[in-house]
Amino acid sequence: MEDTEAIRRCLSGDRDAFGTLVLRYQTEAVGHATAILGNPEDAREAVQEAFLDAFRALARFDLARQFYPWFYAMLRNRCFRFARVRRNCPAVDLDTVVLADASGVSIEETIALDLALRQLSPEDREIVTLRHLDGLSYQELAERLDIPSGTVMSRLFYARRRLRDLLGGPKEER
Amino acid sequence: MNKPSCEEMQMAAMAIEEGQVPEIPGPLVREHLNQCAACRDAAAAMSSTLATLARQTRRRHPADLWPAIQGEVAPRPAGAWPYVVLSVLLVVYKLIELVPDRQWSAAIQIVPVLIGFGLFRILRQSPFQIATELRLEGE
Repeated sequence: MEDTEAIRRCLSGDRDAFGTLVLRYQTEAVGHATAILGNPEDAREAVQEAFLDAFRALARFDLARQFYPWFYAMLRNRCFRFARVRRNCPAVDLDTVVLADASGVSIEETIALDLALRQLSPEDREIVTLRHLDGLSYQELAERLDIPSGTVMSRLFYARRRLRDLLGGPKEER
Repeated sequence: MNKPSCEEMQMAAMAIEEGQVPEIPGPLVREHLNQCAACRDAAAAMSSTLATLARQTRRRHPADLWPAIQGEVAPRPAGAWPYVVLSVLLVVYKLIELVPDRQWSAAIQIVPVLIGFGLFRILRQSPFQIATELRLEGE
């Protein structure tokens, strides 16, 4: 079932049609929420709340738009609300949270990068992972984060520089 | 336009590397990088960070959220209190009926109608309506 069809059916009273959207996007959403929050447990909770927000706001959804970018706005609101309440310190463990084991990359490199990512602020982590792990273009980032593309450029620059510093790159005078 | 700072040059260099068109023209950025060792090093370090990131993929965290969400979005039956109110009204009506020589019979006649209307509102359907959507098992 297409997203639009699922939403139409949901709006006409078939609440189970909403399950199609949840099942389709929950893993992606948990991945995105984990990137913002830094831990998958909080992420699952935030995603669940965001889906409920979306369900309540479904009557306002413009069927000409795509569901996930619209939902993502609610998801990041939920995540940043969670992040404000639960200022978790990144756990120093030997497992990765944001990154998967990728072929051609040493596990040490992945763990170091994952740890560095978790030490970034939620905002920095969000933009870096959307750009590099999801491959969103600057234009898509601007739309997804609701910011001008010039701001995308500067926010990406500062986020990557902080990441580079955490990874032990050369530090500059600011 | 003021002379761009080293930071602005580095930002522009990063954008160019990613195929973007920054406000500072490309030749000016390249010329600056040729002359400024600090910016050249910073741009090289940034390239290395980008290359490291480019090799990574997002970790998938399994989730099964629908059962919990389904429980939240399911329509909730009305609480018991409307039934209690209607029952009390009905009992009061019956008690009033027992009073001899009552003069307000016309007004009291409307009470069962109101109770019936209340029940219809609670059930949100007419018991006299034929449910055409019902299907026999296996049909």
